[in-house]
Amino acid sequence: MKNNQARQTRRNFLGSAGSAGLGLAATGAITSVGAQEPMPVEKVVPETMLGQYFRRFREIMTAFKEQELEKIGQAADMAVECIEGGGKLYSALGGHLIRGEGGDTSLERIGNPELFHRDTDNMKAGDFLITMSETQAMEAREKGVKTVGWTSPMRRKRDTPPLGLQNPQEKMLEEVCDITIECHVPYTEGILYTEKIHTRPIPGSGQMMLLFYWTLTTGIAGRLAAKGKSLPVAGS
Amino acid sequence: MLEDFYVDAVMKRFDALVPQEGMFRQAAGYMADAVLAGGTVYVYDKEKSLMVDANTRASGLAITSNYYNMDYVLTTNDVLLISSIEPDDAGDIEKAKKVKSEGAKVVAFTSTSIESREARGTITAEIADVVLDNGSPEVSGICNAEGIGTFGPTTGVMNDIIFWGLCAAFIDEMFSRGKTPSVYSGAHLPGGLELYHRAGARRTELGY
Repeated sequence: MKNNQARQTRRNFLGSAGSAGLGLAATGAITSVGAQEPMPVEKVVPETMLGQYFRRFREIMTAFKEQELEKIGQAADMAVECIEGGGKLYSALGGHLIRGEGGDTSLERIGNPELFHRDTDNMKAGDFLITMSETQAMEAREKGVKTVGWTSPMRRKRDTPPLGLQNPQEKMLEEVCDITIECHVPYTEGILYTEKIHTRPIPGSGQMMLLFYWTLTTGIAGRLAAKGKSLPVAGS
Repeated sequence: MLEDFYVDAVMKRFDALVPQEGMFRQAAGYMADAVLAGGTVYVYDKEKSLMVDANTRASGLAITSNYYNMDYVLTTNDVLLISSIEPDDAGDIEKAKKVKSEGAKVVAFTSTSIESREARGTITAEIADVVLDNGSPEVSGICNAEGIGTFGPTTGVMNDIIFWGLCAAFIDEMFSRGKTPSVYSGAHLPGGLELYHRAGARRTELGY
């Protein structure tokens, strides 16, 4: 990471130094110093794909931390209010990935507090739902369910370009949810770039969904603990 | 608030992956050796979370869509990527030992130590050819509260982050050998479905 940043700094330096030189030459203000002592040119090593991954994924996590944590805190508050009002928490987050990681409402995953239910057909007013689907969010809100949206590169969101998706849905999550948390992964899903491959390689949304799930889970569990509530947690 | 604490911890653990670049490169070398020799890269995690994320994934590699099953007999041309939540999970260790005895390489995403309790004997990290340390020795989570206990594990998210970093290193390794690995396009992108199928067909033809 530090090496990448150093390279970037050198690039920026060389770029800005070149511009400054041109500007001075154009005004005739430059003396013999610049002309007689050419600036040493350091070979710029292209960034590797692994180097790109370390840099890009950290950028995504940083954006998530800076822009989403406050909203996640609000979502956690909302979830606790639902529980205190007798409601249940539901999660419809991404299929098998989160099901494997977070368990299936039962205590299958070590360290997972039993918070979320998955049988969303049973939702009723006063409950709380995390969803990635605009349709599901709208139906839930009609029932009086509080909704938190988790965006996906594969569904239209604020930063999706007009012709970016094959079949963009009409509504965006942020238009239909009480709170929407942005995944910060671009619509391409792939977060790296190389001219040698036809598509952007290495997806980012799965990792970010897991980060979101556990961040929200710890936020809710921590608030409940602070209120003296107990929760079953899967043990080792 | 705990949400800040959790994200900071994951970011710190992510930063600790950067000095492990050499291990990423070594593991990627084994993967490239495998596919170029006609072998297979298998993926296994008990929770089936990583196995799902690795399988025919938009922007993912076409070579990682192979779930490992104990019934398989691997060869010296194969590699098993194993993601462990508990470093001393008996099932993970059994699989790693079996695969190694068959001559295949084992790359483990796991913690190299356990802090929350005594290890139950051998840990997966001691068996694997390459270990990518997820920096999560507490296993069951980094948060603790009265009435709840220990919760908020970082193992799952870290292992997924490691897996995709390894895939990036594999692309580097293949480029260095003059090969371009097949990558699935997202079917959600215009024209993406056709490119997705093409990547699968290319992988079938070339082995990568």
